[in-house]
Amino acid sequence: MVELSELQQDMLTELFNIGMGNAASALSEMVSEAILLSIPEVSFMEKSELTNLLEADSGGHISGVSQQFHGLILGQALLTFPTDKSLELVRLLLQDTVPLENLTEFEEEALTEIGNIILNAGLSCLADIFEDEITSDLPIFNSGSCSEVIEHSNQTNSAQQTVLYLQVDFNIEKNDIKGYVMYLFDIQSMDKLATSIESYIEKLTA
Amino acid sequence: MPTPTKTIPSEELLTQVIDTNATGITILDKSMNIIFWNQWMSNASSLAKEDVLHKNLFSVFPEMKNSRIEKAIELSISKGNASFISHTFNKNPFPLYSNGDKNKSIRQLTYIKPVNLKNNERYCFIQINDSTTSVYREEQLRKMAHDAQSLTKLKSGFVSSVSHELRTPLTSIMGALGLLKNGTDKVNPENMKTMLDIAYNNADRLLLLISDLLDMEKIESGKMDFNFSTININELIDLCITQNKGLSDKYKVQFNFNKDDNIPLVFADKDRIIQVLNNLMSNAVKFEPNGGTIEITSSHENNKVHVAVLDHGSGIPDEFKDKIFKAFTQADVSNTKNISGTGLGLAISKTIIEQHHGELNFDCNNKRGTCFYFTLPVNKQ
Repeated sequence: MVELSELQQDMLTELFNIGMGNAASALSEMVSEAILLSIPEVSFMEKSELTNLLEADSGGHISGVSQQFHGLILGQALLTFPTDKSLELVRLLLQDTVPLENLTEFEEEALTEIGNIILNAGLSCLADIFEDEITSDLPIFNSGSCSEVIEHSNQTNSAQQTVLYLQVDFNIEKNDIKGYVMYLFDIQSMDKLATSIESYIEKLTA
Repeated sequence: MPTPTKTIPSEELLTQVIDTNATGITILDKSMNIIFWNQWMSNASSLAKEDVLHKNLFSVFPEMKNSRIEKAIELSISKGNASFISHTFNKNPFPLYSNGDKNKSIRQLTYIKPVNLKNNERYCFIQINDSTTSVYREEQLRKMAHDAQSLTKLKSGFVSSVSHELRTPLTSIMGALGLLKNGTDKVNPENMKTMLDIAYNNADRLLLLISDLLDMEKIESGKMDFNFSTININELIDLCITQNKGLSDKYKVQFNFNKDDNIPLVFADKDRIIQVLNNLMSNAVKFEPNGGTIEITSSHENNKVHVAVLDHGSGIPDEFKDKIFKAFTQADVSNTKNISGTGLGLAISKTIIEQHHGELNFDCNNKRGTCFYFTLPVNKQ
């Protein structure tokens, strides 16, 4: 497991906040509404811990958007919300006046598009750290129990996985909605990430 | 046994497959020049392959410059990220039309994906799915949900108004009967009569309300029957003045009928028109000052018979004018005579007149009172 020093922690948080700033301005433009995105926290954890954490926060049912990524590192990017929050978010963005009980096809597509923008912004941050390209596949919408969504979006099926975990706060029309962005890596990719963070900081502080 | 031969799909085969695909497919090189354009794209854009191949996508479609699609293509070529663009937020989709008809824009789901070849050449693959039908279906679904929501609101408003209207007279009846039941020995005959009057009048009001409610129900379900015949409106007005005499005497007002002696006949349901006249007259009695005269006028013009009922009361408050024909709306004005109504009369009257292809409306000058009038088409037979 990667233990981040305070400096590393601050640097990653800052970097992802810049990335989310870009995503937020793209989203604001799309919906003609001021949207703020912030990342108050970045941490690493084991995949098993992740399920517990999401379950505790969501009451069990989540909706999410996932994308596979490739390059020097391989893995899965995943954005999740407790299902009721995903409904709230998408309806705020769509300015939906007639909310139906479940996410409709429209809303699933809208959420997929929003997730895609956020996940790509985060991948750009990781690419900056690696100073190399990280390419991504098309986003997929998932919904179900926490473990279902995580497993469904996790094609590599490796039990030994580490998760780079970011809490992302959406602020839209005075509403705060909390979501989670996760990057699931295999062990080798994790090692590469740790080394890259080190050298990125060295370069910055040199 | 012959060795199975490995068949590799030829370029011709692949192109045919992609061409007959029911989605739009185009491929751009890293300078955003179009290097592949399938048949679906040609059909939807009315641009043949020869028109677009080796041209920059944004010189073919300059209106898409600075769009989300352009940004996503840049992201795919420069950073290798795939994007999904739903129809919802996409303000500048591809200008594509169903069967080339400019009035039938295709609603699009756009997938933009980088493709890397072994020699590190990068291309941008764009797939467009036509979601027009599902968008239409969802819009219908939303409309239905919206209508259902409005109906539920209307229903609950109606139920609460009806319950209130039914409960008020019933409470008076129960109160009066309760006093009689519990204290018959102490009640003198005069008080007993007062109690019975209260109970009777309120029961009468309940009856009126229920018959109005049934009328409303008939109107709303389109089941109100009309029994048309040729009638002289003056005769009906005279009849209604007689029917309302008791009420007008009680409240010390008079009716003055300015009769058009040459009034043409109308083809109408006699009982329903009487219902309308009684409603307008009893309303006028309610608001006419004591000792005043309610003016009733019949006239005709342009194949229409016109009936007006004018009182000299305080008029209709401005904020109430828009709602006056809605069920269960009664303005909170000084109705010192305390004549109760159901709040349904005008709504029913308006519907009845409209079913006769006429018009019921009012003119109101708050200083001079209110004139309710209706028209009916002249019988042409």
